[in-house]
Amino acid sequence: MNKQRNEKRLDELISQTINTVKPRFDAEKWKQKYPDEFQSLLSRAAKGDSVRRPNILKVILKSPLTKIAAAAVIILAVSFFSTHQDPGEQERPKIVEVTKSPVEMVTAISLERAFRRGGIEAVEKQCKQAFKPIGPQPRSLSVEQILAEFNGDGKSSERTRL
Amino acid sequence: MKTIRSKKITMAIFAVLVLLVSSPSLSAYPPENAAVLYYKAFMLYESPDNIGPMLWDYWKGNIKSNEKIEEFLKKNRRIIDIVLDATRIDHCDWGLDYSQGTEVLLPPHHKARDIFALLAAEARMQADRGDYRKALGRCISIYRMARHLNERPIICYLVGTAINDATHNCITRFLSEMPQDIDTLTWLRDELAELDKKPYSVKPALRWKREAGIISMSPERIGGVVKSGLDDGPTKKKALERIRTANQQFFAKNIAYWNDYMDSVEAAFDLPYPQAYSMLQWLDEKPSKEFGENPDATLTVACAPPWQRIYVQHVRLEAKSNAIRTAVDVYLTKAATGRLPKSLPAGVASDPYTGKSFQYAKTADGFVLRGQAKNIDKVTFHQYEFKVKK
Repeated sequence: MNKQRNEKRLDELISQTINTVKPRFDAEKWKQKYPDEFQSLLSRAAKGDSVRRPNILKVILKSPLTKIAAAAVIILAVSFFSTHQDPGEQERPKIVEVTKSPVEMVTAISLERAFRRGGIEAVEKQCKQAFKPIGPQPRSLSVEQILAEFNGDGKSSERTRL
Repeated sequence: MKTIRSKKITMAIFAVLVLLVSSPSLSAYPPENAAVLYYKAFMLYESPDNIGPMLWDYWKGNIKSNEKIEEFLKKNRRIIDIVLDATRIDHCDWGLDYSQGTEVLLPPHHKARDIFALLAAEARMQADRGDYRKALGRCISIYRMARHLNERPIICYLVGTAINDATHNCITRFLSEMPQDIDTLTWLRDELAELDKKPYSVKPALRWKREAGIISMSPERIGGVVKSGLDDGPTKKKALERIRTANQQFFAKNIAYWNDYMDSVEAAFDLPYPQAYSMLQWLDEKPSKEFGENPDATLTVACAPPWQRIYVQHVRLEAKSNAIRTAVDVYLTKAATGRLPKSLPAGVASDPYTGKSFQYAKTADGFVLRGQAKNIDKVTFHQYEFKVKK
């Protein structure tokens, strides 16, 4: 009970603080207040719908985004049909390996699978992909850098970044 | 007085200790394990994306040397030296963890192919300078590197095979353009004979494949093996389903199937070429054909590599190796007598496709060694052309 009473009281307080009454549109008052705008609206209505409202289809077609999307659809359609018109091409196994972690990519069994698909070139490609994340080696590591690391100042150390 | 003497003794002992401790470190290079140096070279060698194709064209003789190539070789002099040092070491252990079965992690052997191109280009440069002995010496070093690369996994064997094969092409070019110098040719023949004491073989890879398969056919490992070894599709799905409901008997039966299968594979590699070719084709297809009805074939489907393709590479390499050894004997005859022999000297290496000697014929600018490969449905002739510098 107490809780309900408190909530009612809270609503009252809020209503007093801010105006919570929904605004209503009075057309007659608006006509009297803005006669020029009202006339202008009337004249537009007389000219017809096509002038008053922009053509949605035209707006969509003129949009640069629509043009890009259309181009993408055409390219996809062309590539889809060209792939499916040549059965030999369709049967060729994909050489690109569905990537896992670099460790999984350099296991003997995984590389044998790559060999089965695309020979020694596919093995080489998969190895390169796997070792790529290792990235560049530090060019040099000076005594100052090592000491800086020991002292907790890793800003200048390349090794910290690796 | 006593204190001074004891100080002197202490100093002397200390000096001896320092010498003893430092002496092994002074003789630590080159290390006893060649793989240490290969790993070092692979790590330090910058992949030549911008100049890579040019290097390949250069060693193949498609283009002449240019400033870019010379500069690149100069820049990588130390890498070349590290690799040459590695090839002089007998022992090579890449530190692979074979207890992982077929999931053993392999070394970055893709770098070996880059390094090969570097060494081959350097050999080509030595040949351009007229130092054919050095150029051929580089080729012998590359052969040694290929032997070092041939660790037990099949992929290591295949990488080594590709490098050996390319080196054969390298040597063929040098032999074709160099003057027939009896000393250099005798030296080359002896070096090749030395290499043959430890022949480049597929056998360790076959033996290990059997072991690795058995290790991998365990409840803990097999899921990963199937996921990595099979392409996505109904076979993989079904194999994984069977593994999910597998018991000890399933694994025991699959191991027995694998063992029988590997017995046949190893035996097939020893057969004459036509029989081996057709037998391995049948063995490649067997597990997949039986997979639907026979659950014992499940894990063999996941573990078996394409044996026939591997065998074809193996025989092709052997044929080329034997052709080069035969050609060296022909060049030696030319160097000794001033003319090419009418027929092949006795005791030369045979054509592994037929088990017989190569067919030898003189050509306008040298000679040719011919062989023939009989597969199930076709007979392919292959030949190795050698030119003779006039």
